[in-house]
Amino acid sequence: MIQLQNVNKVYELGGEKIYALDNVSLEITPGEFVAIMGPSGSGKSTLANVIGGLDTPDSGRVVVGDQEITEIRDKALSKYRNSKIGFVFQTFNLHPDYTALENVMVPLILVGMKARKRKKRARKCLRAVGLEDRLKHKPGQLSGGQRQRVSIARALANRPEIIIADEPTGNLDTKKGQEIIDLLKTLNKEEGVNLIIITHDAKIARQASRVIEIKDGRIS
Amino acid sequence: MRIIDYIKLGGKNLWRQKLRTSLTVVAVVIGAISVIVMVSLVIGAKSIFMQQLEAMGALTQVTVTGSSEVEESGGDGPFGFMHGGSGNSEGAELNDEVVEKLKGISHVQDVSPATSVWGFQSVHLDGTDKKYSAMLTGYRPTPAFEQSIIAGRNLEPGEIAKVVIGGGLLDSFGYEDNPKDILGQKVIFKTNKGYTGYGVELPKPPAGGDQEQYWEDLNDKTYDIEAEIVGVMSPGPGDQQNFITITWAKQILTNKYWQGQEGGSGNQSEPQYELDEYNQIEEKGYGSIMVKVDSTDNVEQVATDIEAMDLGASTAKDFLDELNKLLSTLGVILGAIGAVSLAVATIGIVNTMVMAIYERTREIGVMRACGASRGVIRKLFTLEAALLGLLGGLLGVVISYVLATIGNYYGNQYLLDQGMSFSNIISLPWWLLAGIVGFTMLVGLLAGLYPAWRAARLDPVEALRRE
Ligand SMILES: Nc1ncnc2c1ncn2[C@@H]1O[C@H](COP(=O)(O)OP(=O)(O)OP(=O)(O)O)[C@@H](O)[C@H]1O
Ligand SMILES: [Mg+2]
Repeated sequence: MIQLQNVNKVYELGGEKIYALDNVSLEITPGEFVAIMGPSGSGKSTLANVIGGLDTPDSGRVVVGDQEITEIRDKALSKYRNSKIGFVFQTFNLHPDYTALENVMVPLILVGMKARKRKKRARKCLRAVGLEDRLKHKPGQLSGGQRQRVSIARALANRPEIIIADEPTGNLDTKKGQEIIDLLKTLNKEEGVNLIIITHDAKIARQASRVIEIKDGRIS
Repeated sequence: MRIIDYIKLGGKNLWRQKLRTSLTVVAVVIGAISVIVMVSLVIGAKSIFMQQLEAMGALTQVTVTGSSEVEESGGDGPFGFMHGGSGNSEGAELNDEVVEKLKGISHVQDVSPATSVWGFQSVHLDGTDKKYSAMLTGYRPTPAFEQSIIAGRNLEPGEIAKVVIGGGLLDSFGYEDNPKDILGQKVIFKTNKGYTGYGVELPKPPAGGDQEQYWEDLNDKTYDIEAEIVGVMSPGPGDQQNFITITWAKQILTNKYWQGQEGGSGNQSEPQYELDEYNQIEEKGYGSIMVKVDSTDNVEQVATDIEAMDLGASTAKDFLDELNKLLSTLGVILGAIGAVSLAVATIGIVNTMVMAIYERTREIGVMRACGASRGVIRKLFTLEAALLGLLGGLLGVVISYVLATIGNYYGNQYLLDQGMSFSNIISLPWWLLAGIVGFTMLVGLLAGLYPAWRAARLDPVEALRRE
């Protein structure tokens, strides 16, 4: 269960206040597939990052499971990101010098898993996204769709409860984009992960169990 | 995150930027080498001094003087404690009785009286006529007081007209390249005017004749005293010294004169004369007494015991203390010069790390998103900087070691050619090498603190947004 209560995030630029999140309250039940939609600059990414423990709100409470993540400090919050959250970005954010396998191992190294075990786990995640034959490839040697699969495998590595995908199809064509969405939907169905997808694409949003509309930091 | 993974990851990150890493490491290497060179120079200088002093037996020797107020080693230069000064006017007389008493002190191995031999104005090698001045010391050449010799042999006790010369005279005579060839040759000491010691047949004063002329002639006369060179001492700080036996020194320092007898058989115009002697050593004592102690550890104790006998005792300790102070100061100064280049290297590390963070901002953001805390980021970057220092230190040590080995090889060759026996001028003790590696690593770590702090402070959201 994800709960947000009166969450605010305000930026001040030249005396003008920009409400990235304006008194947002919402709930997402376990296993739900939620799409977040809204115009550019409306606060979608901010909302997702606050849920993912990457950004901290100015006020309000964010409770995920039994943890009030607005209360915990950097170390615990990092552990929360590591174990509960899997991020998927529009620009993939893969390490260009690492192989697919090495990229997937990053969260496993951070959790302190031993080398042999994490290699096994990373391979399994890459198999799950259909890339078992691209383990040694670096991002530069992979197509856009394949890169996004690697980043999904990385998000899966520590068996997260929530996958937050910020415009995961933004850099892909419609066909490849839909494949990625299908992959995420499979994870949602089979593993029961909470899926939060930010998208501009109504076709994608339609596939979600719920669409959260946001405008000027306010959800409607 | 496991320590091994920090190291692996840090190493990998440095490896990715090979050029930048190597340039930074080179700076550290230069810094490390300059510190090592500076410090080892001082250590080397010290060990050469010590080897020399040890070879001279100076570290186990106490020099006894008459007065209990320790005489500053005067005219003999910094190594004056080796030899008795000529002036021993005040205090107890240093006679054979004192010598025997000194022998009774525990830990004393042997005792030798010593005296400066004056009365000679110059010395030259037989067959040449260039004259030099030379310091001459008489001592009892027992095994305990053996000098280190590069050619020939030490003196035997009681030998007359034999001399062991030092490097100073050897050079003056032009035999520094072939000291063996000077052995067996004769040196000739020219006495002062009015000398009446060893080797002088003093003519009887004329009966009634021109007494005035007789004394004038006597006071004007110089003699040539011959001595055979039997040995040459190793070069070193005591180069200006030359040695003869105390037995011969006593004879040289014994003045003869004709003593007019009062009374006689009545003939007023024909006084009776008798040859008499005045032995300066018997009358005034030895210039100093050298005491050989069984080990350096007991030198201070023996010196204290001697002072308790109301005699003066000086050891190499004061000199060594001075030397140590001097060398420590020198070490600090040279070390500081070396440290400057290490400081420059440190700035290089800071620069490299700050640049790395700028370039790797996005990577830092990804790591944060994947669950890296600020602490993890800080540790990772600090470690990378420390690795740069460690790498530079290790390489610096290896290169220094190779350079030192080469330097010592040629240095030893050169010294051997010079007839000297020191080994390994450049000395690299393990603690210096280990210390440098530890120090460069620490320096790297400190240099990494600020960049690492900056990396840890980055806002992950902004870091991820960075193109
Ligand atoms: N560091 C910042 N300083 C000032 N304003 C900021 C900062 N970060 C975000 N904002 C503002 O907060 C608002 C919400 O930003 P956010 O990134 O959440 O938008 P978004 O809905 O994800 O937009 P997009 O669809 O373009 O990604 C924007 O108006 C943005 O300008
Ligand atoms: Mg966004």
